[in-house]
Amino acid sequence: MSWQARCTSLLKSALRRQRMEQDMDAEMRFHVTSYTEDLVRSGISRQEAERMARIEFGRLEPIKEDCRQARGLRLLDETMQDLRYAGRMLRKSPGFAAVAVLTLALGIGANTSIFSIVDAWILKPLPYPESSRLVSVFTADVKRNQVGSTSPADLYDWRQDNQAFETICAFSTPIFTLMRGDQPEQIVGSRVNAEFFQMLGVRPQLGRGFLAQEDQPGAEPVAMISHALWQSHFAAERGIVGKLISVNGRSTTIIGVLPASFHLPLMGRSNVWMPFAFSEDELKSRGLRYLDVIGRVKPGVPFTRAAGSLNAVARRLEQTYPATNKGKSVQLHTVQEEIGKQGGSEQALIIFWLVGCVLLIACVNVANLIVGRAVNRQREMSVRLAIGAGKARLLRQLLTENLVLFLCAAAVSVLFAVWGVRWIAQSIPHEVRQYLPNQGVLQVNSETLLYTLAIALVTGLLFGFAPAVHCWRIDISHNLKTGTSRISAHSGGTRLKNSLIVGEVSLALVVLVASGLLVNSLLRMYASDPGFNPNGLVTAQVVLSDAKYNTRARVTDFYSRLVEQMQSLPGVKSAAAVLLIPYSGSGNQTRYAIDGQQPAAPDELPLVRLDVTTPGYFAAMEIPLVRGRLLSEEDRQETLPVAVINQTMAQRHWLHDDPIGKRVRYGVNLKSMLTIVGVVKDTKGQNETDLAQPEIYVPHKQLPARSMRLVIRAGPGAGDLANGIRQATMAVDKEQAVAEIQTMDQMMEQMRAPLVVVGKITSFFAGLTLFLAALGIYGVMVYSVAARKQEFGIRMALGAARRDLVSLVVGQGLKLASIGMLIGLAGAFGVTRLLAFMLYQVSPTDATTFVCISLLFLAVAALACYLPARRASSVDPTIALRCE
Amino acid sequence: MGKQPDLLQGTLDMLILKSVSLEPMHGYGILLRIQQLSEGRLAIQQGSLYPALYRLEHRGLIKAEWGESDNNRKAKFYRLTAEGRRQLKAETDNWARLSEGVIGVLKAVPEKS
Repeated sequence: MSWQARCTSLLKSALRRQRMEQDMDAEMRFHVTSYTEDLVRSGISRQEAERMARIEFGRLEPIKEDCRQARGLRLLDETMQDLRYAGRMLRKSPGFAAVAVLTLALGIGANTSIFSIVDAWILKPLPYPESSRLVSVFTADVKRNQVGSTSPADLYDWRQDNQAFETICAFSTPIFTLMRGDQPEQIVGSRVNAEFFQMLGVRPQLGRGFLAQEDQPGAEPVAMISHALWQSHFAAERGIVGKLISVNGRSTTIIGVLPASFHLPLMGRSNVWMPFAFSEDELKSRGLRYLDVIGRVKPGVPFTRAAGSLNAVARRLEQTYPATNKGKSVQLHTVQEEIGKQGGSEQALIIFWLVGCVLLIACVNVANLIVGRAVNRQREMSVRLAIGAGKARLLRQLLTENLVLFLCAAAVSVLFAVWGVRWIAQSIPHEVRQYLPNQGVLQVNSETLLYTLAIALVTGLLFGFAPAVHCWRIDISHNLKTGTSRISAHSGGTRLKNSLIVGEVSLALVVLVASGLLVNSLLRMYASDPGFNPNGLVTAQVVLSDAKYNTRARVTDFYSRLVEQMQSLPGVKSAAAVLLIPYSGSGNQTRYAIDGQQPAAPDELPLVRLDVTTPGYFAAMEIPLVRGRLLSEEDRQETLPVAVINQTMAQRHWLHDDPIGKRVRYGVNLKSMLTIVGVVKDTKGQNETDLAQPEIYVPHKQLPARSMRLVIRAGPGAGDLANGIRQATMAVDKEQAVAEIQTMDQMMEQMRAPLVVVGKITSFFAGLTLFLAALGIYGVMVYSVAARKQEFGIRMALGAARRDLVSLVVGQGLKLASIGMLIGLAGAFGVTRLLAFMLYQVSPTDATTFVCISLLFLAVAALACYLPARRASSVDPTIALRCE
Repeated sequence: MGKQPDLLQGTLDMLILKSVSLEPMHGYGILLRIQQLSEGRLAIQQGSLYPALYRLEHRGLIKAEWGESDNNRKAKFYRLTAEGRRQLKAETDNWARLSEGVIGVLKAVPEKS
């Protein structure tokens, strides 16, 4: 390839510059000497021959220069020269250089930090071989437009009857009770199909993976453990494989240790993996959907065909089992997409666009500074043009200067990026991080640095070019004749600056409005009433093993005694156990019908949240009773099945009626019946946005639940309850552990984390945006005021008051700002609906936010105009008039 | 320098390629060879030879090596590369077509009516 030859030749000449110069010299000397000798041989005197040879060869220096140019060296020389000149120019005006580099570094650094998130969570492929073929498979409810988990029976039909997948595997993430010596411990584990790790392409670091028969009913229990658990619980002992541990009261063989690098965010921080042990009954169950499913599509099979293949199975199941499968189809997402979505890829993308705007704003500011300087350097440029520099040459030099500025900024920005990435990673709560790729660890790496360099070059070329082109239009003779470096207020420089500032203001408004909406959401979220009193509440999770707690009486007895034990702990005011606690993220719904009313078709029955509590729950949570009575210890298995409902449920069915004494049917085929005895106030549901859902509370003695959460209200000075809770549990059952002991506040923070993190980040950038925009307006006003000094002098001489001048300048600045604001508000109006999924009780076009942000911006803009205006008006007219 | 016609743009490159295709030679030798072959009809500004040589070398059409000249001096010898051979062939064909065309036009005689 000839361009390769050219590059090598240029490189060789550049690196061995001296050698090349010597060669060139020797070669030409040889030519002249040879010619001289030929002339002497033809009879001309040596002196005359030497003279003739030199004349005919021509002047040496221009020829050499042509040779250098032929090698491409001239471009290199000139670029080096430009770089040196750029360095000198920047050193000569350190103020300009510092402001420009810092502004840009902030903008570029912000982008690098956010890009490192986008890169880690969205762009980087998963660490499994051919990970693009891994898909998450969901059972989709067509009518409700929801996707969800899958039942074991459906899973095995999908596995058998499709042609598009190599493997389809399910997993669930239950809590396991592990015995560590005689201390029970609850840890997050997973149940998986035997082929699960093979499907992902993950090999154990020690031991073996699961065998095909190990997820069949009746198989001996085996487990694989995480690298972390191997280190923390087994001292990284290499002989661990084959040892027995007690999981859920059964002795289980450890068969393998997974590598430290393995982490599937969809499983959270799972530490023990065991094969499914479905009973024959579970394998037949279709209605209970609790499995998450991942499949590996066969090579070369397109996504749509894979989905089609499973949907064909789903349609057949719909016809065969209408009771459970009517309206159920299948939806596929790539695993990468799914992990990204859980990790907040949508939020990250929104912030990515916002910081893009911040960078543009920073660039506009710097472009304005450059234009201002370029105008002041018109005389320098005119002189250089007049003495023969080409315009293209000058343009290239200005561009080089600007690129140097942007590249310096890129270097400084790395510091900001490192700091920013650390800040973002730290603001994500620990519990949330385990669901993030790479455990939420973010770093500035070679890819992000490459990105930094790329945006610095692109913005540098773009924003360095515009001001440089501006110099193109210089009128040499005019500038030299007038001998002035100033230009009139209406020249092209001002026009360019004004349009830049309008663009900047409109971008700033979009960023400000977006973050205003998010901050507004945050405020409303913290001000909203959760329906209970979270202060001083401590919660913990208890999971009873089904092998040991295999009768109703054992379960209810355990929880009744546990609550008693908790209540006797020092400092505890009240305690209770409950199936579903607000903000826990989990839900449990049942279809129901009002007794005495004609029920709807089976698949159109309404859904209600069904909660199971010990009687003291409402007192412990401080949920007020509205009418009727609360649940009591006397509501037992043999007494009338009763329920307390919430206000939303009461209003839905008995708006003008008393719900007390009314009966509700629920459960499979609506076989169970409840009598309503009381109405309590609403609380929040699974999370912050889960509001005003109908809910039914039933007493645990009438509907026992093995997994319950403890709620304990501590009085002042109760101290750390964690140990007390553990001991109280072991006092009831010495092999029973509790997990996730945390305060209600911590739980709420985890649920609020996405909005809080996004709100924090965007309000930081909003602050930066406001500052940069103000700086931009200020800069333009200072410049325009300086250019009109003489005009102000005349106005004052003619009797204008200082106040008139101030209002003249401020008015002019605000006019520009207002144009930008109008464009920005219109833009914001158009794009904020992209934020809707993050907003809490705030509409994307919330008028209050729009108005408040506009007023705030107007105030800041007025201040940015006022300061230069005041300075202009304080000039002595005689000095102003004389200074030209 | 007498009344010799100026060289057409780009022709010098072709002449250099042709000269070095016969045998490796140094810059002065190339100059003499062109004058000899053209029987003194083509004049080349001596100095302008060198930028052309450097350009051709930069494009990878010729390659330079230091060696001994006839009069036992160190001289830089140029020889044709494979790429240069292809280029020379292409330019020769091109030139032949061009000159045939030009001659055809110039030979035209007025048509008799």
